[in-house]
Amino acid sequence: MRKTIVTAAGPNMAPILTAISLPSFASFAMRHSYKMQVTYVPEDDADRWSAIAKSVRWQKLRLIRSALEQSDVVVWFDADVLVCRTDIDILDSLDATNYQGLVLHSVPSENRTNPNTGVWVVKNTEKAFRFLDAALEIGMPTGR
Amino acid sequence: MRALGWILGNEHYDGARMPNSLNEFMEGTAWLPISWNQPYPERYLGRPMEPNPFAIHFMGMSLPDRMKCMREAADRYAIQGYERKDGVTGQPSKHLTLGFKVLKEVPDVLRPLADDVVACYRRHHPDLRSVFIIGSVAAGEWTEGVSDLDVVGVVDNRFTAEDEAPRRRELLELGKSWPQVSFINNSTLSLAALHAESPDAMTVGRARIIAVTGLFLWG
Repeated sequence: MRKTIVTAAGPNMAPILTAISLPSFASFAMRHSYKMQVTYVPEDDADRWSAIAKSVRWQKLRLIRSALEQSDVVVWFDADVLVCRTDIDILDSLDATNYQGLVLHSVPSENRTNPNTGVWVVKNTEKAFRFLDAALEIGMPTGR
Repeated sequence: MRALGWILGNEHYDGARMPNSLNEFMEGTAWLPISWNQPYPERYLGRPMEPNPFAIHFMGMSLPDRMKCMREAADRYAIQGYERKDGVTGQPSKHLTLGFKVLKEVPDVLRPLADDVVACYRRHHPDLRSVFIIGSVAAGEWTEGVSDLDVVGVVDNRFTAEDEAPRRRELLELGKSWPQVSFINNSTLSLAALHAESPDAMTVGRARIIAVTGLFLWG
């Protein structure tokens, strides 16, 4: 099975990704036979609501989709994620009927519950491609 | 989230919640245990925390705080391959080199485009020192018609967004005429800003990217 970990960072997060996050991803990759695909994008913005920062975040979908064309499974890790345990493959959390897996973040103080795409596992299925294409076509909601 | 039919709430997701009915994309989506994407405790104080998470997500923090907290966590969880502050490395450095390689030459099909990009930089930046390709092309992961071309020019002096605008406009048009790339993502690194007493994180990060994954084009 072709399995790929995909991640990316701009100039602000690049030092953190290189020095801290990547080694943890690499340990996970080695243990569970993932290839790694790391992209350094030339621009970002510490203000997460700026147009540049939002544009960079939106590239995540394209990177995942591109990697999925060459893989059976893609696992995305945000650059500000640290993998602490490698004993279980995240893929084992999906069953045969699942085409993707995400974690729900519930923040009562901010009155919200939403899927968080900082850790995201996607299987190479027709539905996964349709989902990614649908998300790309919808585009980024105003203000987010 | 909209593709999942999620109720988004306001522009900061206040009021965001799961819809009452599942659309086709929600069906087949697995909700993983929180331990696969554990928000960093301080931001979400008061919420139940996994004592032994698979992955911690350091969201919504300033860069210095994020760096500090991630280093502490990497120390605590003894991340393999992570170089600790005391210089001790958990595993051989081979772990750090798995992620990418850098090509020695631009793919032939992109050579004319690369030459045009260099010419554009030279026209717009009299103080240009060098030009590098970074990203998927440099790493050999470029996919024709899908990937973009990431380019960074290194200049002597500081610059403003206005200074860069003419070059960006020209490269935007150049990218449209090349179906082999999705667009030309172009930026600039100022050596004056890099060598300042306290260079900003963006400048340092851009320099690191060139150092680690830069494919030399001109200079």
